[in-house]
Amino acid sequence: MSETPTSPQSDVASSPAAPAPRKPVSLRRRLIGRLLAGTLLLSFAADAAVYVHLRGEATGQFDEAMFAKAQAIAGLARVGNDGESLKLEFSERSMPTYSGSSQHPEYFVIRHLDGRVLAMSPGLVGKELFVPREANDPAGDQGFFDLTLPNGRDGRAVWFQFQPATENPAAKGPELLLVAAGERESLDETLWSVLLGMATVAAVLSVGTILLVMIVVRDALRPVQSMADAATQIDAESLGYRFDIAQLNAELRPIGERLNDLLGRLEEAFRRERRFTGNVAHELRTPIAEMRALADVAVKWPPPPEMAAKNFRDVSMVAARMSAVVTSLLALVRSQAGQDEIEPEPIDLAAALAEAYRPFAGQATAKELSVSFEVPPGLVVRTDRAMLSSLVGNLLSNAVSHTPRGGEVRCRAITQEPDAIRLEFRNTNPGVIPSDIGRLTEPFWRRDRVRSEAGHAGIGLSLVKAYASALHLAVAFDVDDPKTFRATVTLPRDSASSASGASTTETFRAQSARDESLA
Amino acid sequence: MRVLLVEDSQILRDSLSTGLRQAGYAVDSAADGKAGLWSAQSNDYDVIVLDLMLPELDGLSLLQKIRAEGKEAQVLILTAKDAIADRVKGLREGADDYMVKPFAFEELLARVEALARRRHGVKNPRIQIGEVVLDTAARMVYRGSEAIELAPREYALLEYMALRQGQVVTRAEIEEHIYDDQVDPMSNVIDAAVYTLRKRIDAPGKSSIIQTRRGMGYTLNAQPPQLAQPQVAGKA
Repeated sequence: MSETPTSPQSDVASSPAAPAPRKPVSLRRRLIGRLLAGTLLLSFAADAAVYVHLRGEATGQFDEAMFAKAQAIAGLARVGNDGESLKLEFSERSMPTYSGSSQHPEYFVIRHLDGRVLAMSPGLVGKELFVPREANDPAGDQGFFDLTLPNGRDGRAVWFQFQPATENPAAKGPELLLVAAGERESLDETLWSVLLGMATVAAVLSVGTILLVMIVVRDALRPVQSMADAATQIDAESLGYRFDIAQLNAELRPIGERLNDLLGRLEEAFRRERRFTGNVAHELRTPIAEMRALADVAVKWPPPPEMAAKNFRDVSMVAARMSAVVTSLLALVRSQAGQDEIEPEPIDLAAALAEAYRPFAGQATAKELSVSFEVPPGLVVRTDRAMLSSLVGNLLSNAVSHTPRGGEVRCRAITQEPDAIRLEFRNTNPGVIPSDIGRLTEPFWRRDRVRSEAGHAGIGLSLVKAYASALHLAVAFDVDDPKTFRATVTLPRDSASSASGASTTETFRAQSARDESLA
Repeated sequence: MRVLLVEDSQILRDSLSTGLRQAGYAVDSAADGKAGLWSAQSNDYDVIVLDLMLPELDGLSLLQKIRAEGKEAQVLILTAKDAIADRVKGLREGADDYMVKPFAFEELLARVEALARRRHGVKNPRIQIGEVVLDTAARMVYRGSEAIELAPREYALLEYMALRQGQVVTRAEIEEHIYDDQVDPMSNVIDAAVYTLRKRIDAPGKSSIIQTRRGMGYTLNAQPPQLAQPQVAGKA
């Protein structure tokens, strides 16, 4: 049952994701594309608007001239005394285009609104002139329209209703309609040449715009390109490269700063890595050289039995030292990679410290160190037992190894905080100086770069740091007063076994809340 | 040939001293830079094998100090540092050769031999003194085609005198280059060693190639002294 709803759901979920993610278009292409589309669209729209306006103007002027001419004809018309007949004092000589024999003939017709023709231009005899319906409407006034002239050419016409003068001044003339038409060739030619001119200008402008946009965009994006080129050149060998922030454009500056920052950290990480591998190699080279020299000399000149026995003891000792280095390195790698399982449990601090100190007690006695533990019994912390033991063990081993003969090692628990215990290790170490602190946790780091015969590889504090980070514990190193090295670890109190009041309930509540959420 | 070994690893110091002594070198050793410098200042070593990372005084400083004092010993640097910059630095400070740990003992031996020869201006590993031929690479001595068995110290004595062929080698010089601090040679020890060496290498019935120069020391020479005298003077 539970599968049925999930399967279509997964189909639905997968179908929008099905088309491959589109590769983002390059900035340059995007800028060029959008700028061109925008400017070209705008210029075409402006062209169209200008053309429409010009056409309106030209047509208006054409119409006006035609209207004036038609009005002149209307002005010539006189209605006779009968109120029916129309006299047109029209001379073909003054208006030759109406004769019908002109190369560009014009036509007119004067009629009643009911269609009875009163007069027409000579060229129209036997032919008909198209009259729009609204012209016959008594409420009509005037209008212009396109038509096909009787000679078959494209033409334009004007109509208007008028009351002609009468011979009898007292009488009122009838409402007549005059339609006059002529060829529109000259208007079309004008409009066509305007259109052609504008198209030419638009084409030239477009080409110019394209070129300009491409040049401007390329120029504007040049800093991005040069930054990209510079970034491409950076590899593991040239991590010292830094972008010159002062030379970068304001928009690129934050990127440059981030990149510089990143390069700096990367360079430091690479340097640390190289130092680390160099140190590992160095740390293993000397014992290998020792074993090889022992073996080579013994093969060339076989030693007497008692000497051979010593050689074997030496080989075994060297192997043990190498093994300790390798074990520490593995522990370091494991804890840095977070591979160790962490199982927090209540741990009695005093007992754990005593146990961790046991392996170093002999060495401390031999060096006549004064070692003291000020940890009240009954302090219980909650963390991983094995890792805490390694952490504390490494701190004690470090303290015992680096304290000069007759020096002092002190470990005390500071219990002022309600939910944490600070464990402080102090030891005499005249060799340590404050500027060393930052590098103390670097594997194999030693200030004097000289191998100690004590078998201390120099991984101890790196391990302490790695364990502390795995256990989420705060650990700090400093030079407390001159010649005293101090390491401080802050451990969480075990809430269940803690004796202090208010804070206990608080941590306990937090603990139970977490347990509930886990359940 | 006398070698100073300055190395802080005790195991390495012990085994290298053993090996070099077995090969016929007089070997002194020092565990730190200060002791090494003191030895290098007080004796005339042919070769100094020098570790770089030393307690008390680092190898490069030691090298600078002895070069400043005009010590001519050939210096072979022995170190775990293998970066080119480290090698260049060592050589620039006046080292003559450089070896990175770990190394084969045979190679160390070959390099020490080459350095010892160079100390005395000889490049050819085969040195001829009349009928006697010294193969310094194989540490073998031949008369004609016949191999002569020599004890390491006898070989060392012959090689030292062969490298300075034609020159007068004083007893003090022999003491300094053939015997290390572990031996306290007295004059008759050297005379006895020369006596034994003569018996081993000289052809029966012929005059010895080792001539005693009364009041001065010994000269190794293929020709009888009276005939060779003008040439020797010219060579010297």
